Amino acid sequence: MTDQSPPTADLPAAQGAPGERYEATIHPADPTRADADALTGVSELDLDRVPDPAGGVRVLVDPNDISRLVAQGFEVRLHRAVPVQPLDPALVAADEDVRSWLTARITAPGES
Amino acid sequence: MYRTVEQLDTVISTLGSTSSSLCEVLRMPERSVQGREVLGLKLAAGGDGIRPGVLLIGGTHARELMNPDLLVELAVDLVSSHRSGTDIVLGNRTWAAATVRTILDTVDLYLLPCINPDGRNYVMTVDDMWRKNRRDNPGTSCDGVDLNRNVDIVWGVTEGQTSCSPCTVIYCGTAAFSEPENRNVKHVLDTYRIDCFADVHSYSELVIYPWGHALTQTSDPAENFTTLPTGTCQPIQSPGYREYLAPEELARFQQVSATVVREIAAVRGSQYTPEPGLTLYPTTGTHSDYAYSRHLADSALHKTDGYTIETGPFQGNARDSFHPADPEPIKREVESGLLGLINSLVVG
Repeated sequence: MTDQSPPTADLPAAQGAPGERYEATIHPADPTRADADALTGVSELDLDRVPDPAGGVRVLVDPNDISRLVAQGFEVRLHRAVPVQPLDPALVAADEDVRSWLTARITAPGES
Repeated sequence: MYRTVEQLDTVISTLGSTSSSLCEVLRMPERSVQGREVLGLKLAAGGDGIRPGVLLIGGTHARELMNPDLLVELAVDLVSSHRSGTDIVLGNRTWAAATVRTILDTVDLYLLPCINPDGRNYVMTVDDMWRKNRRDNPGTSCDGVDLNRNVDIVWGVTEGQTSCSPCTVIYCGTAAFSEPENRNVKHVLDTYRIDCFADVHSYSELVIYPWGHALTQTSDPAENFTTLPTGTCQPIQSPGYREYLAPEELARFQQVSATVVREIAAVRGSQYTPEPGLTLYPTTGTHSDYAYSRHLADSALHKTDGYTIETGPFQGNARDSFHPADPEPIKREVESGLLGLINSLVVG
């Protein structure tokens, strides 16, 4: 997924579905204000902030967070849904693979 | 691929049982809040005597999955190299077997690859973006304490990305070291001589040194964290407060950080950025600042240089940045950086 043409949040004070969550960036509602100045208060909102490559404010938010941000005058750009879900099982190592890797790595040549 | 907590423990236990002359399994004194045993490793060769020590920890934030794997793989590579006399080849950077041998003959290396096993298990089974430990916070429906806001350096001061609210992901807990996972880290710092500490996180390609709670100044030793109130649940109240760092200390942090950055780049060209912690965003109660602050708060304690490394770049979205489908190139370059950090104690 990419960050192209992100939709802007315009949600009511929604409860949202259980586990509903979004990756978003937060911007000043007034585009004439510099982000750094206008976003000073964001850190007081105790959001799940994650690093942003452009130095902006990137967060994981649920619908209640979004409503709160919008009510406080911020613009919230949603980039993608990040539903609450376990790690993709395809990314979890298999026990046998761990065992065989370990055996190969810590058994010196000539040892069995 | 990412190892489960049980698989990480298997690697640690196997190293201890098959390479006992080099590896000692360290069973931490406290179990996690959900009762999991926390295992560490000590790697050392050669004689006794006063040796510099390095402590590397990982898995502090549960969703930053690659770092516990990285730390056990570092241990395996060191043991394998020492036993077989083979070089450690990391992309375009080769760590000669002789250098590895010198490192293990000279330095005591302590690893706590996964200090937050409950969180890692939760990431793998329930929520892959979980950050905190799995503390049940009484009186709320919210779980977890941010283990990298919960140690005793300006604890409970809500400067920037720190909160006293249990429902936030940056909750600092009810007291400094309220969490057993963090008391285990303190135990290692209290028990062994640790000259250099690094907490390995993701993501942003950074090598971070003190301070995280305020801008750094090098001119007024009296303006320092020991004068700040803690547990206030407010930001620092002193206007314009800046934290003291002795000029020679700052220079050393910058020099060693540059070494780590150079050794990372040598693998495949990734350019990590060395910077004070505050640059990412303000924080309090973090492990690496705590490690360094200990000798300043109590002159009887040994001085420990503290670093945080943020592994890997932004991959287009947060989920793929915290646990990319292929973490191997990132792990290998940071392994070289960590070897550079450890080797800095050998070469001075």
